[in-house]
Amino acid sequence: MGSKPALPDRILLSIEKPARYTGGEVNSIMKDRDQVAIRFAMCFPDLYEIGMSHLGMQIIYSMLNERDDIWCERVFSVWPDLHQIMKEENIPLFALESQDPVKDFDFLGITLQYEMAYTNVLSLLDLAQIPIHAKDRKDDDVIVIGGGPCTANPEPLAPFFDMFYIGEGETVYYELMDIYKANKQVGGSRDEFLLKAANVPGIYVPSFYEAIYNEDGTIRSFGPKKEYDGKVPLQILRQVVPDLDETFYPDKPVIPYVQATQDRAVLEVMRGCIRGCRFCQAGIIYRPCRIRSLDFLKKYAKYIIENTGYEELSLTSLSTSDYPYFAELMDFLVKEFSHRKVNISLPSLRIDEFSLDIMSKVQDVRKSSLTFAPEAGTQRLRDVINKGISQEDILEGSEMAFHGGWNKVKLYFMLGLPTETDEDVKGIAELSELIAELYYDTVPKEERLGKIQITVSTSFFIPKPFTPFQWEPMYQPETYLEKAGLLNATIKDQLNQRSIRYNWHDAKTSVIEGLLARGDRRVAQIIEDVYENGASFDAWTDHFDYEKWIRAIDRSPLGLDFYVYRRRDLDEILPWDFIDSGVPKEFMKKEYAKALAEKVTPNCKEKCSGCGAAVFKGGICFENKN
Amino acid sequence: MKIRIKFTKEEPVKYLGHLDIMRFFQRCFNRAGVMMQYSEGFNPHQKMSFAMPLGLGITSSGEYLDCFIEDGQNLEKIKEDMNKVSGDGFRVISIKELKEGAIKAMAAVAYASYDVSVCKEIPSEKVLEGAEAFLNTESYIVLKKTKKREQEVDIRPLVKELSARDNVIRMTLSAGSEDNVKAETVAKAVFDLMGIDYQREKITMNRLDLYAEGMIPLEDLDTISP
Repeated sequence: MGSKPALPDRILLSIEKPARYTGGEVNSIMKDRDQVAIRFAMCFPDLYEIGMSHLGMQIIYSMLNERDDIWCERVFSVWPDLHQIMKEENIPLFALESQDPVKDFDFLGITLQYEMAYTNVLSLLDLAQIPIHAKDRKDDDVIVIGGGPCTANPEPLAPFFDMFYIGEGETVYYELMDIYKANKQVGGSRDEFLLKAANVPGIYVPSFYEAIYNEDGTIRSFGPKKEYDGKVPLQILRQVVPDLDETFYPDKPVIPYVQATQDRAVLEVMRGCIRGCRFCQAGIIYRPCRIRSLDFLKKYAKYIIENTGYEELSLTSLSTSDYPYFAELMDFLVKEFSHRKVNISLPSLRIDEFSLDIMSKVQDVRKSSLTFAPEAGTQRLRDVINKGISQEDILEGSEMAFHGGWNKVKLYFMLGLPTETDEDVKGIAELSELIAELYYDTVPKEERLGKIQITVSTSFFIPKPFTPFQWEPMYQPETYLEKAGLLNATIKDQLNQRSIRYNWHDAKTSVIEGLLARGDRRVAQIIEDVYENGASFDAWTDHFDYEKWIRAIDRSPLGLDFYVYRRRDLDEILPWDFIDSGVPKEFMKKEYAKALAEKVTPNCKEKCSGCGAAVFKGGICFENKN
Repeated sequence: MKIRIKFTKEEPVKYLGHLDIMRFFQRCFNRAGVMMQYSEGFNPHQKMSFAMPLGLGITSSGEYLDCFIEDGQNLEKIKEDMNKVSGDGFRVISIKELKEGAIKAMAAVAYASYDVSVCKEIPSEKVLEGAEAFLNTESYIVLKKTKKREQEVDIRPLVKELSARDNVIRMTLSAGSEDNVKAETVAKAVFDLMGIDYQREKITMNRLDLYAEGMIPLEDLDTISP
């Protein structure tokens, strides 16, 4: 049964899309608040429509609710219209299911999916009336735990969280909950629980650790504080699920009423990637590449469609073409679902004869577009970043697609990659031009369905922790814009300029993301400062206020020169070095050197590079050895 | 086969917009395993239309949806199956087959009935007084704002019935594309006649049913009795 709404009609009638806040969706889980031992608020720090599109949250939600002693509920950021009202009327942030205040829960789990949501974290702690700093929380305050990919470097958020769960959510949550329950039963304090939790693999309690700095601002040492020496681990081992078939998968995902950004069923076919692109954090931290079995996927595809009634099923992974049973899976899905009018969507496909054949079966060719992500404009630079796609691959794939009736092509690149020259930037324009020319050369006039439409998008390269480029500097926003300008001018100088549309990301957002991605715990002060000065929803272009950030950065002792524009020394202690991702720093150094030497590394299927991820005892590391 | 579904939209889902409800029904049909008829084209979609949109924040005991399903399905079973997989607040009350050439619910609507509950702070005698005052006026002019202009409208003739009991004002109003008046507009008029300042939070509204000309409930209009 539904819960009494936390917000009166008067407020709900005065805000945008009130159903974001009223809960009660099909498949959402109601329990008796008095019959559970642990109340867990699972939060995605962005708007409902964004958060409800996220598979990871649905996994944790179903997994925790599987247990009778836990009630996991959902929480999202509230849009500024309601935020203001709740602040004025002193209404604390509430969870959707029970509509109860989050501050009365045992846990608040916040998933950290992108750095630009960090101000939203502070905003929702504040709205929830939970002390923003972990050190100010008392025994009966909620335990705030962070998870998700950004915990690859949790340090910029260290003061705000009681603990971070580093790695994939499926491994130690039950163990953590059991420890919490046991501690509660014996009347143990918050600190006692945190100390026990700090010894669960993958759990990092930042307040037990400290950094000591050199005069130049770099880290001299990082480790447990004196009083915790020997009581907490020196290294936190990132949690990785060895066998995906043994994990929990939500077969009854909550179906949002308000339309989510990704409004469809999601089937994760694979986790990790065999390819080892050197800019890609996910490519390292989700190693080893692991697949779900065909039987598993068939079974869950059916369950999910039956339990949700969705009319679209999306196969997700970092590179779905690398799924070894892709043909069999598609065969099954097309047979099973075509009569039920369920569409299959296929992001992350490599374009070749086989994938084009499949795409033509499941998509409207006239409406869909081909997507390539060469990431760099020349073969030299693609070798530097280890992006295993060649100009021939792209041109051959395009030609086949043109004959199949496609005439829309999307191309994704990065600007500002290590070693990039003007030639590399211009190379993007030239490659786009070649594709356009290829269309007019290979498709006879009478067969053309209008002109070719090429969309070139560039983002600015942001070095991320746990990548071979983690030591690299970024450029100033002006330099990025010059690069984008050069590319734009080159495109405009070419024959087919009218067929090519070019858009580029905001350079200023990229610089701030760069700061947050590789910052240390001193960056927390900047985040807090900028939040106090009104920043939130920074991931939303209209809400991002660069000047606010710059003012906050100027007030802090170390600025962008230190965190963003500086080339880090290979021997420097990096803020995230205490995390063991399974892939040692030595491997990253080796890859970095190979990048600068323009040498490629084969993918995991071709040849094992001995990255170290075999320590997790699963996935591709073992498949190949059979 | 063309069918008409009568359903409720109760408290927990009263803030869902029209498109949200449409998506809900699409998926509810799918979950219940109802064999739907689809439109032609590369992106086939279920063919459905609703009788009359309901304002956000208003509940309803009588909403209507017309749609097409494959022949040969048991309507009573569909109703049961849908209610098993429905969401809180949505409940299918009846499903009836429509006659050949039946008028669409949307086109047939002529009247809508509502219960407007007034908060307990206002004495029931006062509400009764206001209701009677409204019934006794010959005309009641309100300013109706459209996107382009403001227009004076006499709402008194659009109120077919009105009565009050225990702080509940029950009203039957002209509805549909020609003459239409909102329950809230009439409630405001009654507040005005009571001499009490109107605020939205002083009332809750529930739509009771929709009718065609001659006060025939839509569930009985052009439907084939089983």
